[in-house]
Amino acid sequence: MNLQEWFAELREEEERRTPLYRAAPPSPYRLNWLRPLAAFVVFAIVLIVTGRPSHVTFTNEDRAAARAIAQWRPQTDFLLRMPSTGVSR
Amino acid sequence: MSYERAPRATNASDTMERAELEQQLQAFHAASFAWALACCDRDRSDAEDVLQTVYVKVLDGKARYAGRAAFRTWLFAVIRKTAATQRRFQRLRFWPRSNGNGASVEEELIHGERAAALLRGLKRLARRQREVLELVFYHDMTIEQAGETLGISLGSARVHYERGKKRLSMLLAEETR
Repeated sequence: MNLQEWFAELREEEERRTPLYRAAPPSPYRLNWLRPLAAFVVFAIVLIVTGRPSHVTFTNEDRAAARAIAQWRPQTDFLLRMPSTGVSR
Repeated sequence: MSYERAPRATNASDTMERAELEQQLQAFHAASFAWALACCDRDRSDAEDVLQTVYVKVLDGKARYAGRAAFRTWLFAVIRKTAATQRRFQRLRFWPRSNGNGASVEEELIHGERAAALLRGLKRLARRQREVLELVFYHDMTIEQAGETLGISLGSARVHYERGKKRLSMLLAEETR
């Protein structure tokens, strides 16, 4: 069986219905808005990340609360003391 | 087919100018469409979509011809990959595109008895076998060029060619009985 002949017949059939060559126009609109949009998104992310304050600021209430916590001593603290407590200090 | 009229592929390592690219695309248009049809299971509208996408890719410079292979081999590889991507997207569709009896529009348009039988036979082959046979018999490529287009080794291409040819001959013999 000569496959070449079979394929030649199919090729002839399909060749007759080949659409005309249509050069695809370049897609300028896509590039025109996609790239600036991507650049803007990246810029916005960078701005948000770098614009955030890098150090923490405490209000007076925060400081008062921290002082109160530091000064607090539990009532049962003495129970945890052992005879040797304070010797090495 | 327009291969004889097609300009010879350049071996320039640098990328082609747009005008030259258009000239090459136009020269291989008939062959490219036939290959796109084969890659899209003979669905004409899919083949047209794939070919347009390929032309846009090539002319926009998203697919660049570096001169490592013949232009046609490279172009066919781009078409095959684009069709594969389109097939993957189509699997995500919610509705089937079949026209009911499973035959594509292109198959229905084929009037020749032998051509129709050949299409039926090709449909029953494994995709790789079908692709190798189409490239060799339809597009007059060597097995090596077919392997290059499909991104497989010469050894694999030979195996697909031999097995496909054997099975297709058997199927066509059954059809002609």
